[in-house]
Amino acid sequence: MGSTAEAEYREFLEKVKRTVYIDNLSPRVTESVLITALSQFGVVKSVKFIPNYIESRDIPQCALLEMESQKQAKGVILDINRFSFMVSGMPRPVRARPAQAEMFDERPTKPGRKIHCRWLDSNDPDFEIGKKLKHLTQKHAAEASVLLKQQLEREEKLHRQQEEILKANYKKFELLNDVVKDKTATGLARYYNVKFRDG
Amino acid sequence: MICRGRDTFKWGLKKGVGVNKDVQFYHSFTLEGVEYFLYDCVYLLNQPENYIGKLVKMYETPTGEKKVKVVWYFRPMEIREFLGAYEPRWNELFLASGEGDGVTNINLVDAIVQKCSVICTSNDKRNPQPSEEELRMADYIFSCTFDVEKMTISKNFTDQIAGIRVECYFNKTKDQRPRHSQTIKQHIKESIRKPELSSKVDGLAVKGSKFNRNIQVVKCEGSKFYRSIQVAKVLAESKKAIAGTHQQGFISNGNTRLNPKTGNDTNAQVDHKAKKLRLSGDYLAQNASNLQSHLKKKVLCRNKGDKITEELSHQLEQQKDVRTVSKTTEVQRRPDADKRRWFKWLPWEEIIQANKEERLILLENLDPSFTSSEVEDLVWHALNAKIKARMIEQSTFSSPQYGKALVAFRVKDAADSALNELRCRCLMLADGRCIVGKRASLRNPGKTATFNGHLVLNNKHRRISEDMRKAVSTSHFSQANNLEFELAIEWRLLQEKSNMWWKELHKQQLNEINEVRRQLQSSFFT
Repeated sequence: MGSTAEAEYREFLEKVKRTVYIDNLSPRVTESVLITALSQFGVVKSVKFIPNYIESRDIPQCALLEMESQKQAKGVILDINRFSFMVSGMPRPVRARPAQAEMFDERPTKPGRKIHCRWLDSNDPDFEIGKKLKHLTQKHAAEASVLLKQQLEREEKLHRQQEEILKANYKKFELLNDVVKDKTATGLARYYNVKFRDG
Repeated sequence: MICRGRDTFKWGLKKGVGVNKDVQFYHSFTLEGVEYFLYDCVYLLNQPENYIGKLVKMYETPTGEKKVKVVWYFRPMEIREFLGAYEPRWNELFLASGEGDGVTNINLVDAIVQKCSVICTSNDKRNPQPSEEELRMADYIFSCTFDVEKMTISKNFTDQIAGIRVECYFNKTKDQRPRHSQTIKQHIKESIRKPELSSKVDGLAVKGSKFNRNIQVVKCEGSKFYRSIQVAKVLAESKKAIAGTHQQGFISNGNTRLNPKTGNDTNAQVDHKAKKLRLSGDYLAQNASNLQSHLKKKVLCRNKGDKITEELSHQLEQQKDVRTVSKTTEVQRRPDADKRRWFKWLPWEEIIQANKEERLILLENLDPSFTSSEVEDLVWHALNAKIKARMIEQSTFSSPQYGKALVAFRVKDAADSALNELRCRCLMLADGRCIVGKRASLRNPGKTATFNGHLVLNNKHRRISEDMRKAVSTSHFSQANNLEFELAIEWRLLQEKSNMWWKELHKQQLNEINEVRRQLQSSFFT
């Protein structure tokens, strides 16, 4: 049994190596979109979205993409991070990094690992420390929650700013377009005696 | 300490065969490492709330089906139309009685979820009154019966319910509770001192086979505790058999009168009689040698019994001390680790959609490298509950220090008691983690998330943005000559910053954790 468990575990580690973790994904992104998007880098063997069960806020999707080889996975990560890569929308790019074993929900247990545990009651000398640790865990979770809230607010702010910029840019665009369309531009060109060609 | 065998199912001691000789009845069985005895109360699988019943018969049919006959307890909800002015307590149940449908059912043992402690608080003279401790530990109490015919609640108990003496429904007297370590000690001593004597001659016939089985039982692997229960029984039975042998001796000597006192003879006397028997001819000599071998075995059993008694009392003393010196245990594989065929867990998506939040717990401060299966082992080991666990994967915002897992219990009560344990005591892991449990609050699955960072172009702009629209629908790299490129750079900047502040937070938190962990005194923590 030991050897098969070890073989299974080794195989899993290989899989981890050729898997890419991608985040900052829009909720609209589906498996097929990801496969199409990543196929330009190599063969996508499997896609697994990591479900969000416990975070009540809207956080971007993240997914694990298993490539055919570790080399391909490295290539994907390099390319995505060097340029801004958009999936199903713009301008927020996605991010990629190597996957870790802990990102997989169904993973084999590391063979031979032993877990030791112990219950502490109120008169154990370490009981108070245990309570402190429990308290710390809760405090840290609260801290992370606040940070996440701030990050999401920053993202929303950036989103609004960019929306404004884009709108302003479109306005300029349209203005120029209209000027060309209603022949104002050609008229002006003739007036100032400069060359102007539409299109 | 409960024995955790690896076998999923094993019968215990035989009781007898049924009328048609094909059905074998038993006194007990072991399911997933837990031994169930006759008249134990159990949860039986049902949605949305498990049924509660008392095991009154356990048997195997000729076709190998393992079945139990159950007398039901009703929850107040189930009989609310008939409660009238009766106000049940929050954990009160009603014992089914009378004739007709609803008193008992036959079920497969597979339907049993786990044991349930039900204490009778009736003032009936036949009911051994429960101690405060027992009441506090009880899952449920009952003091009334519910007659399924008349549809009435009654404080009176009839002499028999479903053909079983009413005493079996009341609380067990001390020596009826062999699982309790203290009573086991007594049990063993008592069975050594005054063995039960079966006055029935037909006990002789099964004597040989009984002994064989006894020896097997002694040999069988299991925890000391489990074995000690068996040994107690072996002792009782070996006495029976010896008494039987004596009777056989008397019979051979032409003495047909049975002497019920033989069982009280000491070993020496038995030996003496065995010698006497040897004198009475070949046939008897053979018998005597049998007897001697039985005696040897018996002495063996007895020595073992004594040893176990000593060990038990030692353990009991240790348990008294346990308050000051906590015991470290290695987490064992739960018995049903590989095959869970008898209880079908729903897939996680369905558990979550079913919104069974009252049964779900979120465990925090686990080692992030734990697998779901290891968490299941841990909870089985530390909290003695069969659960389904799901490690929450590490993702963008999760801390590398803190592993989390969703844990689904089968019943709300089990989840509640686990939460309580985790709150009142500290479950420590060897690396200095203290596990935190809280009720899981799940994300509403139907919610469609909005996404900041993807700009939607409205219709007015369609005309000019044809190219961009195309770009949106496909995946692409941003080109440097594009407005999109600049906007994307802003996002990447924010992403970089985000990376940095999360890293900083996790570093700070790790320092704080180490600071506290350093204060741990016990050498258990590495």
